[in-house]
Amino acid sequence: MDTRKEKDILEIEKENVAELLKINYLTPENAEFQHTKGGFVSLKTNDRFYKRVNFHRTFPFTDKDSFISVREPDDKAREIGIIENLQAFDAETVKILNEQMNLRYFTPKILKIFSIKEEYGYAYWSVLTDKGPCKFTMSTGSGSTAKVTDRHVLIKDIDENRYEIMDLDDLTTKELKKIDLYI
Amino acid sequence: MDLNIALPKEYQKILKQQTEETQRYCGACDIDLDGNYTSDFYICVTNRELFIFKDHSFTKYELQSLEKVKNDNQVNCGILIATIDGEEILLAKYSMKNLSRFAYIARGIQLLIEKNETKQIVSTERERVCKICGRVLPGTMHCPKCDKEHRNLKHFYEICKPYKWPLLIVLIMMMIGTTLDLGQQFVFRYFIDGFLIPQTGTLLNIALFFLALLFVSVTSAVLYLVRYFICNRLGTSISLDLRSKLYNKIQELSLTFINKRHPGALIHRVSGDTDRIRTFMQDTFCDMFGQFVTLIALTVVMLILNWKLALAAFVFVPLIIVSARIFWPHVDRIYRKQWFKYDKINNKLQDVLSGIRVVKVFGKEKDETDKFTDLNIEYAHVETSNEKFFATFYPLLSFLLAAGSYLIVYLGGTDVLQGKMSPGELVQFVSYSSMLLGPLSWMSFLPRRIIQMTTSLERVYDVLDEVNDILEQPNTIQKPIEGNISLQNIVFGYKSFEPVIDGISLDVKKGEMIGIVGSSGSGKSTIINLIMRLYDVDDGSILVDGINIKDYDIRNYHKQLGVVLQETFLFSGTILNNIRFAKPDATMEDVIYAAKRANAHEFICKLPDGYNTYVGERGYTLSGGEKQRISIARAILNDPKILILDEATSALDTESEYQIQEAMERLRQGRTTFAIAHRLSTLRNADRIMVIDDHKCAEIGTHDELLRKKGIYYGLVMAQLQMSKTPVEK
Repeated sequence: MDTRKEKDILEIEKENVAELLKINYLTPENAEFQHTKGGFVSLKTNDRFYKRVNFHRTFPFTDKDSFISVREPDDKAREIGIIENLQAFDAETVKILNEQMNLRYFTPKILKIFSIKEEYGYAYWSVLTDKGPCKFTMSTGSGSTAKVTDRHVLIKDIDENRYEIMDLDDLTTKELKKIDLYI
Repeated sequence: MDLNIALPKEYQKILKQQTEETQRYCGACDIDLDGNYTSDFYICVTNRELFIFKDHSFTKYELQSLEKVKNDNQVNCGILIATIDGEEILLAKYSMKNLSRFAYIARGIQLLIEKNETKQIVSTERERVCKICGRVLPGTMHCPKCDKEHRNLKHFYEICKPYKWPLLIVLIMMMIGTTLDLGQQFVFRYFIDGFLIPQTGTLLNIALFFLALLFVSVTSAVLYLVRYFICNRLGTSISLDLRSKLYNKIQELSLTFINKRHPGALIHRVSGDTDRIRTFMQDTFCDMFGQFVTLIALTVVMLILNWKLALAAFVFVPLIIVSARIFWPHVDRIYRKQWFKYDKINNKLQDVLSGIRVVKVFGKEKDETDKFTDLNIEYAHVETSNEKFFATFYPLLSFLLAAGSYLIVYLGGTDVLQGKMSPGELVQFVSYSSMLLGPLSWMSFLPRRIIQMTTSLERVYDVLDEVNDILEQPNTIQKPIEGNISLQNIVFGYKSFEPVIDGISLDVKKGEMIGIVGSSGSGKSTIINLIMRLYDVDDGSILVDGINIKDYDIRNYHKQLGVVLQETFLFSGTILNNIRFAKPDATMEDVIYAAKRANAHEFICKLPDGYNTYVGERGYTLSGGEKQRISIARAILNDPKILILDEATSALDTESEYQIQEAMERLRQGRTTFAIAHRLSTLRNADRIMVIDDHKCAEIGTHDELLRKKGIYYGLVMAQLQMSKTPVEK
């Protein structure tokens, strides 16, 4: 193989690696997000235009508005850049981006627990969430609940939907008693 | 899974008005586009149109105007997207509950867009919940509540059926025992009223009374002993049967089933649940006859003797039942809580012990100790509180149980003083009321024990009644295969909404070596899992020597495969047994020959115990390369027609790799070989290399052809070249 050509390739590879390690911050100065007709969001940045982009929260439970990774929408989902702080953008852009993230993420927050009935190894929950009333089924075996922090709990149902209890202190004693067994 | 659910009447009407076509696919979306739950949002598809029904209105798309429709997985939800004039349009959103359904429906719509109207997408996935009551369906697919067949009773009868004679003997013995117990009190009464009160008895009377009591006691003891042995044997035999059945079933079931379940849960079913059923049969079921017979006999005898006193004995029974009904759920709950906490401690311990090196290296011993202490304290709190509860609850229950006797002593005593009753009769009655305590307190535990047993029984039959995903055809073919393999547009995903293999076709001639490369998660191992028929393809077909892989007898087919995996698994046992795993009747000569060809003979001979060296857990520690060579010998011994090498050399040092490469080169001669390798140099001898990218076959050809093509393979080779050069440059 041609040694010169090989060297060129190695140089390109090195540059690619350096490119991969670099964090490309998207700011109001270098990024312009627009609503698309189809209900998604496009991005214009550094003379490049992306018809549709996806938003991946890097800290979805602890810091929703920081370090949002903006990626291409295909299977490879290559990163285009990172929004360090969503609030740095104007109100309209924040609204558009929040709508997109609401489309991508669906983790209802449990506000009220009506009942939990246990039968045959499954717990049947009836709750009120910020997305409306809901009934779901959780396996009573291990792995159905996880704690983000001491008071912040995640619950996974049998279909792999997830629900959040933002703060256990917000629940009544009666409600706490109901979930006591599972957390 | 139903891919064409019925629309509400209102929307059915609209559909009829709007089109002459019938609905092909239909699904309900449970989230609206604002992200809130909804129950009024449907996607319905006919041969020509796509309808979105929502909020009492509809939107219609002509399928010919759509370029593409796809399901897009999001985080804990999915969205349906259509492409119109190059623009992606959001159609619907749904939760994970409906994700699989819409993944299939999207595939169906895409076929209709491509004018493939004859092919109907069908989902083999099962509905997870009962359509009537919404309860989760176990593997049996029969709702534990709505199923009218009384499955638990049926299953219980099934496990007892082979033991009907021992059970009958136990029942007869129980009846004799109860009669003796009741009779004993009659003897007492006769002794008190006939001899002690009138003081007319002789020594002979006392001796006869003593002999009668001795006879009753000895007979009762013998009966108890025999009954104990029979019940013990019964329980052990039943759990033995169930354990064997479960083990065989788990071996038979497909990997899809095994992967869905946690290994710990399956182990618990084989050991814990069968043991619980044994305990029930041994301690509860056999006793149950006796307790019921005693209770009924006592009630009848007491009512006949003195109905007023009998009622006094039963006056507290409703209170006992009510308090038991109130307290048992609570008791159950607090004990489960204790068990959960205990489980947490165990998990933490397992976690830390497995990662002890990391804990030590990072100097985190104190932090981990603190975390463990917290869990320990939490457990201790729950345990203390439970013990306190029991210390209060049990004396109260015992008092209630005994309260009837106190009332009898009072009322009976009055009757005796008034001459309405003899002292012997009173003693007999008090004894009966004390005897009543046994069955009553025993029965207060019965519902809990039955629930525990039926839960275990359900869990055992959940596995036993599971239908195997890999169904064998009735007349399967058993014949030696040659090794011609044809993959015909195969599609497969471990989860239906995530295809891992998406339309791969390949013809492989016998003796050919195919290298498979691609990034992690691209589907390389999945292809060989399908060739090994550990899973069945969702779509397309795999032909072996021109015959569909599904038509072969699966065991016979597996016997003709040889597999060497990256993580070499050796069973606890000798090297000899490990090499002979697939062919237990292989001669010593065969074993040595296989080991020599695998470059393993030399190192095995140098071990003090040679081929009899015990390996596996707690056995002799072999290096990665040594284990790998044993696994190659294991594969060679079987003389496979198809050889699978899955990253077989990736975890080895250069010297071991050289020896193994050499052994594998020998092994693959004359066999169809599929080899997955990260280190591309391993595949230099491959006849063809297939590059998997984006779940599809991106490139295929010889090493030289692919290099010339300067595609993905070329990039991978160059990247590895750079990695190997970096140390030299330094």
